Amino acid sequence: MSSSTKFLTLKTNDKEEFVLDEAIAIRSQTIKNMVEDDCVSNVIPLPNVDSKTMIKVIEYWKKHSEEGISKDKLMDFDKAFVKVDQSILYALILAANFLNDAEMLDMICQEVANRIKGKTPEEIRKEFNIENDFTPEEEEEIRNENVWAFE
Amino acid sequence: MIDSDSAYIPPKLLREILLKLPTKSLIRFIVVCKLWLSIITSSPFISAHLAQTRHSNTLLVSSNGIMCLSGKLFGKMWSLVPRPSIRSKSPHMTVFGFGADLPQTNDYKLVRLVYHKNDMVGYNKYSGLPEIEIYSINSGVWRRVVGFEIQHCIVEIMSSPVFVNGFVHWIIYDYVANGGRRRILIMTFNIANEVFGEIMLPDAIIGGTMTSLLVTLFEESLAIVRYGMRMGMYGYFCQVWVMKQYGVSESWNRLCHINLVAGFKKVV
Repeated sequence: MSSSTKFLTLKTNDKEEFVLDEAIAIRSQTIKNMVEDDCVSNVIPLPNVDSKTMIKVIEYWKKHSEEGISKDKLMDFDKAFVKVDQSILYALILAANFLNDAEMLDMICQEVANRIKGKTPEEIRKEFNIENDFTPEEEEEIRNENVWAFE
Repeated sequence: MIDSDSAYIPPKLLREILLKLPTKSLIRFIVVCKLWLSIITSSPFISAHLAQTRHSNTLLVSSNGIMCLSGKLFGKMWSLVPRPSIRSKSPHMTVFGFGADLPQTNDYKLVRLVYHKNDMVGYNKYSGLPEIEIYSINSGVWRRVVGFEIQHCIVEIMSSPVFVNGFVHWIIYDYVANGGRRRILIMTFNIANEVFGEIMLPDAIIGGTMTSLLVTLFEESLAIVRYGMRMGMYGYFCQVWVMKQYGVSESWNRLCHINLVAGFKKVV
């Protein structure tokens, strides 16, 4: 570790504090902007992220900051990383969005897409707690217009 | 937020997730709710989805405001296409053709013929001049074609069109008997210059019924598969005709004739 290593303290919404190498923390564009604008005091509050989610985020950041790690190893890590409960995945999306980590957001969105792509509209509604706001007639009309040509 | 069973995803992030879905899923998900319908069918979303899938993408689905393309010819390609401009509340039949103008413009085009139902029955119920429109993926818009009359009709239950040699091909028939008989022929559409044309079928086939013909591709060549009933016997036959020299009617060549095992009407 070089002598110029700086540490940041990140505080999640459940009052947990995480001390992290600045070089790793600035994978978050949000944190990077704060550091660059010099508006970082001792502690950076993360009002939209809880500690459970932050532990996962930091695990990801650390692995992706490892020097000399091979692409294959990172791919294996990413594969294992997204094998979590739905609820954690959704929390990670919100966290990655708030922290503005495009790479992580992209990976998690892809995982959610992979999980929902084969589902029925009914299953989707249940999954996302969506109320069907079409009338039965409207839904019928949309389904009927769904004509598959060439098949 | 971590303990809730179902997730709330803000629309901006939902859009990011939906962008990563294959078109087939998107089409299915337009009935989830009004928000999903509005996201999936919005022009910016369609453009963004197309940009992502462009190189992996192509046939077709028409749906409430969206259509999508995919096809064996171009690999497994899918893309979203905006709602066509010709819409009809009255009964109609829509015929599609799809092809690529890769050498010239690197563009993909979709041609759509809309036949309106008339009072007649049988084959003629969709006779009458179809409305024509063309969509080009590069332009991103549907364009009406006016001043061109297609005097042929396509049988509703006809097989899919096939794209060969820069042309889309459909099996069609004359509306009006020509010299005492209705001809069955192939209608072509040149994807590059958007001109319709015709190709004659081999004489031996012209007498067959339309629904027993399929237009297809055989080793890069235009081909016709013909099914028929064996004369004086039980059972059916299947013939494959190949146009050896594209566009030259004299080059139609019967490749094979197979008698089908009793009970089989069509071989897929």
